[in-house]
Amino acid sequence: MSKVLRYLPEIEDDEQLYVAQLITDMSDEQAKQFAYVYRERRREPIHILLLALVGFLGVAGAHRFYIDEIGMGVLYLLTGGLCVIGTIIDLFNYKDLAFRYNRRQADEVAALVGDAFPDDDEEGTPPSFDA
Amino acid sequence: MYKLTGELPRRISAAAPRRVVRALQRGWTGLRAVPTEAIVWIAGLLAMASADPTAPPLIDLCVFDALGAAFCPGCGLGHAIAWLARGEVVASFQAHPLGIPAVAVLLHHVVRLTRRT
Repeated sequence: MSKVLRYLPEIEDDEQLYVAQLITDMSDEQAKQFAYVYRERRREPIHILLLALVGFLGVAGAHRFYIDEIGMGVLYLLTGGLCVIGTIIDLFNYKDLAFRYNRRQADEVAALVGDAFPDDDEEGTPPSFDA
Repeated sequence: MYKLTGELPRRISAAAPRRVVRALQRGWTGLRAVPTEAIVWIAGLLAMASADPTAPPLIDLCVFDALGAAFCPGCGLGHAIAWLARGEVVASFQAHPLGIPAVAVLLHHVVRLTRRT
């Protein structure tokens, strides 16, 4: 938990718990890189709420496109957000929508960072040229 | 084996409430593993599918109608889903051409939601 507070102080709730669990075993260098990339990729929940509100102006589903749910986005767009009912549901639901997207991104970034910045002890072993 | 006569077997009576509580907890945990959004979509689809497409509308949920708009892009979807549930593909298409794709998208979405918990 201390790492997430140090490197990603702006995230909260479920996302904070999830990321804390994800980076708890990372080295400081890895956690720093994780925070750097993850911050670029994650979606701010309040932006999803604002995009959902745009649905009341007639163009519904922008928030679904924003979190890569293209099918739902098209459906909302063509049906006026399922007669606005879907849009209203998403106003209550926006934190879950954000968390779902961010969780997927966090998993990917963690895998990326794990590959690109191996642990210190692995890095410390020099490649052998015996053969 | 418990004796058939006499008092209620003590072991059962003592464990029963705890078992009920544990079963409820398990059920609750299982339910919480399913995202709320998936439950909402399934409930909506079932409600639409079980409605009678020929009956006069009971309630009007449409916000466009309530605001007095002349046209609503989503109206007819409920009837389309209800007709589809009864196998009437043509009637479904006439109620709303997007009824069938809408069901497909929603089901796909629900599967995606529940696959990773």
